[in-house]
Amino acid sequence: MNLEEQYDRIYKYLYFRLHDQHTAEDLTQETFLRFIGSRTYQDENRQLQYLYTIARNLCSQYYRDKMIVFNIDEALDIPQLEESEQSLLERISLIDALQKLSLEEREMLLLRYVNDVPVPVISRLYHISRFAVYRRLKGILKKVKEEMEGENG
Amino acid sequence: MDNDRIIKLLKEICSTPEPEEKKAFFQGLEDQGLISRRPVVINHGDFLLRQFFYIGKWIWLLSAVLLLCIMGICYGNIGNYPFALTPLLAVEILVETGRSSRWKMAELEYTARFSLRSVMLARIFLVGIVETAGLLVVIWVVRPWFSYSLIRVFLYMMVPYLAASLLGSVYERKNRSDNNWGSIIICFLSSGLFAAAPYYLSSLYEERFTVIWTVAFILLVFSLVVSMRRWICELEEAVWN
Repeated sequence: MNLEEQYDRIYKYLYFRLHDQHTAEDLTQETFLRFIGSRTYQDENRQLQYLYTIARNLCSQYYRDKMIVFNIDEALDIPQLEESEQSLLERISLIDALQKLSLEEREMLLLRYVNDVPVPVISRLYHISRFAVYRRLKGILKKVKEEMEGENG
Repeated sequence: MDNDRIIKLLKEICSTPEPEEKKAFFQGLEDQGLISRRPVVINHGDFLLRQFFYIGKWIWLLSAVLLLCIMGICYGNIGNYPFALTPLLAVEILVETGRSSRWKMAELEYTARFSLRSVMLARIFLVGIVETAGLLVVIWVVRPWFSYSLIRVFLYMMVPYLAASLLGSVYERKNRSDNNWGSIIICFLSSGLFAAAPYYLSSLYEERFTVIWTVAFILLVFSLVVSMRRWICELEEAVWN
């Protein structure tokens, strides 16, 4: 596992959840320090799962300590004015659609499609079967699609 | 809107500012000796061990079965026929040499950390050394069941094995293909020839011909080394082509 490559992904995951660059980076570094510090974790196949578990736990702890309520608008990239109108509208409707999803659903989309986390790792993170992961991802995408189409037309 | 478009948009809206402290963080970890960003150097022993586990289990299984068959036939005391089985042992070495092209893996192996030459040399060395060691044990065990001296049993066992290996390797070198059927047939033909030898040339196993067997053994070892060396050199050409 390439640690530097995973750094960017864990950072993205934490940024998406914390919507603060410096906090996300601090927690990313804390995640890696804990990961590297745990020499007992030898199973190469589960390293990625372990990394995301640490990041998720740190994030939850941060939420608890700071009493933060997650606001997706701040985490997502606000569309720029120079973009085409169609693309801009699509992005806005996607952000709206994502707001209607639960935190877990958004997280699953992020892990699978933005961070390219393999399905077996996601299934172990959520303690569900691979088939269930596929089914849920399909369901979430369908929900997003319906929401976006409902908004646009 | 299709799913691919949604995923593409999702990736776009999830873009994040570049992490600012990544470089310093990893440098710090490296300075503290917690990680190493230099490529991990493995020694020859580790390399050979990794290749050992990469060689198919069926190869080791087949070798063990063949060696046990040779021992069984020797125990049955049926003349010089056990010696004809040793060329079949060469099948495994020759099959292993064609593994990359057979499974269309050569391109991947070309780009691996070790050259294809090192990988193939390691595998041939491993299969050859294990089979030869097994054969030597068999020779030691079966020697009392023959009326021949230890050196003669050794020669009668090794010469057919080396002959099949040599012919097979020359064939493989001249005819590169995705399968090893040619060299497998050569091994079986060699085995057949040595099985027929006690019938038609029974005098070949007399003591006076021991010198000829010894010369044949030395020549075969020398030719096999030369042939394998050329094969490995040509393998590098194949990589560049």
